[in-house]
Order: sequence, then structure tokens, then C-alpha cells
Amino acid sequence: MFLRPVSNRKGMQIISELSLFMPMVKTLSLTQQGAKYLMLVILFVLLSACSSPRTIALNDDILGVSSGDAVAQTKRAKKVLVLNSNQSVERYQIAESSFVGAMGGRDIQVMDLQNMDKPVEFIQDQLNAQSYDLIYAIGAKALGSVNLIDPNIPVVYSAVLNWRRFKQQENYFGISSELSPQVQLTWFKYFFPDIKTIGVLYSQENAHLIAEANQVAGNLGIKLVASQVRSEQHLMDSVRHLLNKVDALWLISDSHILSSIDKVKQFFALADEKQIPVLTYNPVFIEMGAVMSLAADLPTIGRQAALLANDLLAKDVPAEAIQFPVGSRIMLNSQKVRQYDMKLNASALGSVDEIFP
Amino acid sequence: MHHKRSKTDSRERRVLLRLFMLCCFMFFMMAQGFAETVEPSVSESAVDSTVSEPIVSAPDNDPLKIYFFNPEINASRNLVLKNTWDTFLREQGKFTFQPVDRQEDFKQLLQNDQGAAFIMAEWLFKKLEHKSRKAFSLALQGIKDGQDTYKRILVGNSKLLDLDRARIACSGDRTRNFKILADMFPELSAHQIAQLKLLQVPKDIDALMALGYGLADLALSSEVGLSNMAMLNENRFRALNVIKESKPLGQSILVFKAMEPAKQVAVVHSLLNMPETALGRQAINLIGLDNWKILDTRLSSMISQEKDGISGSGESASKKQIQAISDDKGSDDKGSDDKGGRN
Repeated sequence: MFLRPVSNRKGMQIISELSLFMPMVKTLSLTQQGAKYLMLVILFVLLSACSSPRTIALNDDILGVSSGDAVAQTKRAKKVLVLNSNQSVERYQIAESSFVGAMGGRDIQVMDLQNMDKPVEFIQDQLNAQSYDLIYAIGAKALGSVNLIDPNIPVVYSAVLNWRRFKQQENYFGISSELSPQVQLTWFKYFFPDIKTIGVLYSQENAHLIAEANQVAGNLGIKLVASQVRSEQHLMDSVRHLLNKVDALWLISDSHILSSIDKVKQFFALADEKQIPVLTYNPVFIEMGAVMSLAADLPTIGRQAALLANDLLAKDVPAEAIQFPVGSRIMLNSQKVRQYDMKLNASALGSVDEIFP
Repeated sequence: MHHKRSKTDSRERRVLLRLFMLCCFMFFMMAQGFAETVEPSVSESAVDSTVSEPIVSAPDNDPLKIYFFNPEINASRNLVLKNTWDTFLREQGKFTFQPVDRQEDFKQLLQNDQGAAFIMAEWLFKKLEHKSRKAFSLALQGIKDGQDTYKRILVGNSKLLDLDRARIACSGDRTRNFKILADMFPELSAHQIAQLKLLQVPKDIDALMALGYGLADLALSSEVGLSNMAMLNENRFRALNVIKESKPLGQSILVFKAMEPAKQVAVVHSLLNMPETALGRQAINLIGLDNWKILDTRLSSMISQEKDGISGSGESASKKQIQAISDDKGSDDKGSDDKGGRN
């Protein structure tokens, strides 16, 4: 047989001590030959039994578990560095945890730059000490520091307000912080189908975005009344002028339009006076009187960054350097909806994440 | 006379001993395997044992709990669901709405909580073993646009399919989505399904917009979602192709566990009232429905009797019990029936 006989004294002692089962076999009136066959049968049964539950459990769970295991086995060689500008900031933490969760078994090192005065030097030391295949930068501090080093590996970034600055940078791929104009306008139309004209104020920094929005608005049956503001002095006049012509106002992220808190408050006061609803991109404006806010969903951004990172690690370079976030988070001000007597599509409520108040 | 064992006998003994040790080892591994890999589920005997031996039963003065779990609805919305539903239910009686974040927690509640109502995805209920399902009584099924079923669809820009590279936007539970895709593509192996690039998004409409606006290659969505998008932006969304469809899936259902018939009637009555008030419509719309239909004919006749006022004394026994439950609201304020008249 394949088993090597035990020859040493200790082995013999063990055998004699463990041979207690022999009397039991003898009481069953089994010959040694019969006992051997019985053991073989038991062994066969146990082997069969061992395989079945594992297979069933695997079949039930294979789709959730095996993907990670499969990824881990094939992708462990690639190393990813995650630089978090400040782990104590919730939106950065959410991006980090959803990114790491979606990367599925990769070798990931996370660094918190929160208390670092000289992050550039620290990051440079890390890059010199270890070989990374990709960097994921969360927040402006992380991305800015990496940008100064300009490593020769792909950089993925998110949660950077000034993402437009990096649009043309080679090897830099980002997720912007706001939903695309197409998505925002589509949501507006879905929630409030009676809105026909939407007014928007913008400065030169958003000229391209407004041009894209104009195209989409037409497909949605919305007339976009866009007014470019060239100076702060004319801002409120432009607002008053628009309010007479539109069903709703669309407040976009624009540093020249939202130059101060006072300006924003005036903006909302004027709109409220005319009972014109304001649709916006950030929930902070809901308390100021906006009817709806459409923000990017933070966990989805992390997952999207992970998908992008995996593509880059597989040398599958995307056509566009910047992606808009695909997930949305919607807050509805039900008080304002009632106050302005707006017709709300009831089916759209299935998509609301938060109702204010 | 001492019997001298032959060499053959000794060899036989050693072989038998080793076989015995191997059997013990295999048995041990099997026992470990059962403990690690077999997940206790509602279908197991733990549930059956609790059917006849209630572990948790709420005192009568506690509000009646309506638990909710649907993995196709983003759990981050649970707070808005709870707030809206509690506001509506407070007007109806002593009820409280409790959305549950995780499937494991919901399964524990199904096992342990007595005298409660559960709103859940129908497919989740069907996953329970037949024996365990007997502990529950089916009461209502959700309706959306007149339909008690819906289909998940895989949508793309063209009929050509490159699943190896495609990014599939989808909402809901990741494991559930893999399962739906596995059912849609039975020709693919489990490994191939697990390799699909799923991009989880919070909402059905997010998935469609990701596809429609070039941020994804495919979207796993619903027929209703696609038709809504097609109405909004015909140019962009009518051109999309439905590549695969799931079999019809039932809308969410309401089941009771070990609840007195009178309380069941009170709950069903309240839920059937939802489309009648603005707040009720808001609450039911938040879970993706717009109405309910009664599945339990017994409940249906009790409610009909209550409406028609059938009985010799002018009030049915069930109506008296319902009245008693409604009166039991105590100092709870009744909100106005119609909040602002919108819709």
C-alpha cells in the first residue's frame, strides 16, 4: 500500500496506544480484512460528504465570494497607493472606503495626509521606497502634492473642486464633483414635468458646460434661458431679468455667480419673492430655499474610481480623462414644493434620498 | 500459549490504524466545513423551532411594527422612508415602520419577531423554505402602474455584446444583480459571471442615464424605468436596445407573522388607504409602488364586511375590534388627511 510503515519505537508506542479500537472490531466479529474494507467504505462516504456541502455553499455564494478570490489570485502583483487628503473628512473617507472595497483583493496602501506639513516629500519617499502601479488621490491636497511630483504612473483622482485644471494633464484621470448637465436637466424634467423654461446664470468658466446643456435641454423639451454674467455689479440685475422669463432657476457651481454668502442669500430672496423654484447641485442650498438639490453620490464615486483604476491597471485607457459621477443623491424640499404649488411626478419620489424638512 | 502474530497481521493492523486516523481527520474537516460554509438561513430548523416556541413577542401596548427590506432599494434612503411612513402611519393607528439595512438582520427578525408585519421583495419570501413560509400569512402585494410584476432588463446601445469589457451600471444588491445576470445568461459559467464589471449606482434611473449619456456600456434596469426615460428624452433613450429580459418578478408583498386577525385587518386597512391621501401616496411612492392588492381572501371579506356594515347589530365583530385598535391611539394627534393638496 502507499502508506510507509512506522518503524521507530515511538511510533510503535503510539500504535499500541491507539489500537484500542481493535478490541471493538473484534467484538463485532470482524476479521482484519473485513475491518480494512469497512474503513475504506467509511473513508469513501466521508470524502463524498465533505465535497457536497462545500459545493452547495460555493454555488450559493460563488458570485459574491469567488470574484474577489479570483481577482486576488490574478492581480496581487499590482500595487496601488491611495492618498487621502484628510481621513477625518467624511466625504474623503467615504470615497476611500468604497474605492478600497471595490478594488477586490488588490495590494493597496493607504496614506492619510491630514497632519502632514510636507506631504510632497513624504509621498516622494514612498514612491522611491516602493514600486506602485497607480495612485488614487482623494481631495485637492493629495492631488496637488502628486502633481508636483508628477510620477510616471497613472493617477486617478476624485473630490477635487478644481478638477478642470487637470483635464489636459497626461496620465491623470478623474471623476468630477458634480453631475453632468444632461443628468441634472433630466432629473429636473422627471420630477417636474410641467417645467418648460429654466433660467441659468453663468460666467466664462462654465461656457462649455452651458453649450452642452443647451443641446440636452432641447431633447428634453426644455428651453434653457442662459444669461452670461460678466461682472458682479450686473449679477442681481441679471437675476431679476431672468426671473420674469422662466419657470425655474438652475443654480450651477460657478465661482463668479456664488462669490459671497450675501450674494447667494439675495439670489434666493429674489427667487422666493417671485415664487420661482430654484434647482441646485448642493444640499446646502436646500435650507436657503432651493426646491431640489442633485448631488453626486459619494460611495458611487469611489466605486467608479475603482473601475477606472482597474481598467488602467489592465492597460485599458479610457477615451475621456474626466468622467462625470454616475450616481446621484437627491434631496427634495417638500415645503417649497407645496408653497410654489408645483406639480410633482409621484413616481419620481421613488428616487428621493432625503425630504426636507 | 502466547500466539505469535505474523508479519502480515502487523502490517494489516498498521494499515487499519492509518485508515482509522484518516477517517477521523476527514470527519473533523467535514465538521469544520459545515460550520464555516453552510450559512444559517431562515429555511433552517431554527425557524421551524421558533414557529411553535415564540422567542420575542411585543407587549400589547407597543406600536405594531411593520418591517421593510428590499435589496433593490438603496438602504441610504431608509431614513426618508421611515420618516415619511411613520408620519402617515401615526394617523392610522399605533403602527411604526422599520426599514432594515441588511439581509442578515432582516432574516433574524423573520425568525424571531412575533406579531409583526413584514414588507419584503417577493423573491426573498420565495427563498424561504416551504415549511418556514407556513409561519407567515400573505396579505398584500404591491402594484405599480396597474401591474403586480416587473421585469429587470439589460439594455445597451447596440445589439452587439462584449461582456468581457462592458461596464454594466446597475442599482440594488450586488449579489442579487449577479444572480439576475446569471439567469439571463445561462450559457456563461459562474466564473464568467463573477468577472463582469458591475458599476453599482444608487438608483435605477442612474443606471439608465449612465448608459444613455455614455458613462456605461450596459444598464441593468427595469422596463418602467426605461419607458420613463424614453418619454423624457426620446432621442437618447428610445434608441436603446433591450438585450435580455428577466422573467416577471413579483412586486413587494406584505406578510404577517403570528398576528391576531383584528390587527391584521387594521394594518391592511391602513395600507389600502395610502392612495387616498397625499401623505399616503408619498409614502407608497417612496418604495416604488402606487397601490396594493389583497391576496388573503379572508382579510378581503372582513374588510368588505366592515365597509358594508354587515351584521345583525349593524357592526361586524371585526369592525368593533378595529375600532378598539384605532381608539387605542391614545394621545397621538391625528394629522390632517390631505397635506397641501399637491398632486
